[in-house]
Amino acid sequence: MTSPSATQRLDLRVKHFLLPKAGHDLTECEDAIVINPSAFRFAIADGATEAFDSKNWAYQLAKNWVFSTNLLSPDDFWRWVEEEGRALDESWTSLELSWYAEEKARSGSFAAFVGVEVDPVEQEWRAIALGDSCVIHCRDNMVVKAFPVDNSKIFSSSPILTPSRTTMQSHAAEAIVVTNGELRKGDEIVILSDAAAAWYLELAEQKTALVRETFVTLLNQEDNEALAEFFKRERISKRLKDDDVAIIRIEV
Amino acid sequence: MSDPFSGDATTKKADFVAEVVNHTLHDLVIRCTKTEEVRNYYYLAVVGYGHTVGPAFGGPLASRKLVPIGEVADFPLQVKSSYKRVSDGAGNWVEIPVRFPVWIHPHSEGKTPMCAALSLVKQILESWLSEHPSGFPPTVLHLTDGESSDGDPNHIGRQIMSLRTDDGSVLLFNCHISSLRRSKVEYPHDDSALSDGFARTLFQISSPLPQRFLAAATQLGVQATDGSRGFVFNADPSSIVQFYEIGTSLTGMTPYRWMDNRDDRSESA
Repeated sequence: MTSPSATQRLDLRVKHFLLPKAGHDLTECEDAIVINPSAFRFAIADGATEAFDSKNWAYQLAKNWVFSTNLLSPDDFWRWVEEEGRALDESWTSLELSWYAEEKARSGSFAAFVGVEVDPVEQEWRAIALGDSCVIHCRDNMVVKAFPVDNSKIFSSSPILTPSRTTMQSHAAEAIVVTNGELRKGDEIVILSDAAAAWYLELAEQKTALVRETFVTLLNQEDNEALAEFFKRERISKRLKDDDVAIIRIEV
Repeated sequence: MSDPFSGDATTKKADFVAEVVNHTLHDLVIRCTKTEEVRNYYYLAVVGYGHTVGPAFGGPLASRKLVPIGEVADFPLQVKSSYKRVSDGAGNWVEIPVRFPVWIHPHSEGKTPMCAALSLVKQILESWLSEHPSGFPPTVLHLTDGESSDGDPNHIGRQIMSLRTDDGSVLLFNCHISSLRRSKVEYPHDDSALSDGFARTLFQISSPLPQRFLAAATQLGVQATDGSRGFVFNADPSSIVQFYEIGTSLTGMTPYRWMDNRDDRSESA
């Protein structure tokens, strides 16, 4: 997506990539990427593998957020999650579930979520997150801000996630975080699900420029097959955990 | 097993143990459930002994020695309806309808043919190990309320503990329950606190708790440290629940705290 050039308006070059866990196909991927190019809104949601219907929940959150307006304050976002959770619940009412699926469904669904809105005129970005999907703002190949997790070592196996049954998980509202930043020409905004975010941050921390540059080249070439091979190697090297990978890269 | 627990004349040991085993099977199924599918992460065997020795599953799984967990999920003996108290998120409790399955019913008759039962367990393990030589080593959770009536179980117990996969030895954990009010011994390092010869025998055929089981024990507030054996003597009801929670904690997931919901109101469907 390249926006029309205008005075004082930043152009954005947007690429994205989605990859399931090793041995799985894309239909099994529980990460969701949705982009609304006209509103400059971008979202990644990462459905929790152990939860019920998490793939649908992740996609629903990402899609409905980018096609909404605002939802960038914790209060607005939480009210919206409550409504979305009710809608997901309703989609289950016609299902005839086994006792074990019913038990799983009772706990609801869970996903990590990060939504980013870019204002190319005001030259700024804003983000909201609940969970460990991340946005990383880089300038001159240095990390300016990583949000909500800012260190590759502190990704946890049990982060607080966006619940579909909010009444049972009211504590999650306190884990919603927001941030913003200024943008300049040449900056990079990368939005990633947790495993990819840990990988990207570690590359930045270790100043491993070559791997990162290879990734950016392949992404810009939109060569998904080569990208899948690239990430396969990264998994084998143990730099990248074997998890679903979702990445949106915005070059300013 | 037909006797009540000491200090609780209303609860028969057999009823309580059957309830714990059914809850444990339920928990294992839920851990393997992803959306509507149960993934076969485990194979399960339930062996009962008393008047006879054999597989304890009822219903469609009757006489099956070893069952993949997906089939355990799909073929309970019965699915009961009940109510569960849950928080409404606003500081109140609400009752919601739930269904829960039953795979085994309590039985308590005959003697305690422990050696024959452990021999059957060994046979089941050998069959599984021949097909899964690199798998996660099986765990045997043995629960008894009395001394062996068919000989010394030391030999067969050691044979079970010597079985292994490429990933390690089979784990044998033992839990003895008593009708008498006696002080319990949980996860000891040595047999110095065990005055009873039978207790020492069970201690000797109990595997040390590996790290991940120790972590589960700590999470449950149980005193167990490096070198603790998977062994409880004179267990009371809460010890039995913890024994199964610790013994099935191999996924590293939080043990299922169903004892917190003992005020569930049950009714048959």
